[in-house]
Amino acid sequence: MERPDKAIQSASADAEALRVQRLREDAQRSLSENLSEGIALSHKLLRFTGAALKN
Amino acid sequence: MSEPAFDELLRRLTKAEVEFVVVGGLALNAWGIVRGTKDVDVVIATDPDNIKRVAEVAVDAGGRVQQGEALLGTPFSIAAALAGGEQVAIETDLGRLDVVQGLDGVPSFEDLRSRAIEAEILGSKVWICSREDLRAMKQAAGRTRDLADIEDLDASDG
Repeated sequence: MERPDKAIQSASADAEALRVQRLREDAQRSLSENLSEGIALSHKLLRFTGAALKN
Repeated sequence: MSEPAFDELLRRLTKAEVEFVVVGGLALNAWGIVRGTKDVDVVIATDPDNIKRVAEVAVDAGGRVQQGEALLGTPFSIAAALAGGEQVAIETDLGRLDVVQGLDGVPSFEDLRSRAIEAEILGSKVWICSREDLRAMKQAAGRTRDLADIEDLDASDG
């Protein structure tokens, strides 16, 4: 059986590889598509933080 | 801010024929690093007519600038602040417009524009600073967040 610290290292390496793969996939999309998605995300976060500040 | 609408802010700038290049968080988004940002960072052409157009768009969108004790909210006063050559954060009803200028490591509008790439938002064309310029500006800024952004930019460039 894998030692716990090795298992954690392995999971961490897998997560990093997946993160890099997704970054590369996103970088292949058009600037317009990525910009729209980024703006939509920022709007959601700003609404969320705005609502939190009001409460 | 009543409701954030960065895309509408960009559309209005383009419609008013403001000469600008998108930098900062939104440029990072365009290059594929999709994370939230709290403002629209732009570098603008600094001729008086362009500055006037920026100030008019900002005021139409409810823009005001806190400068010390003063709250600027007219096209004239905001244009004067922009003409001062320092960074100006304009709080509008559509979100914060940050006019980036006077900072080390930020190229001139002309240089940025010559290397910028066009993107489309709400049917309007906007110029996004090049990946290399974005990386260099992040390097010059050097905050923890900027260094993390550089790491992501480099990782995405494989």
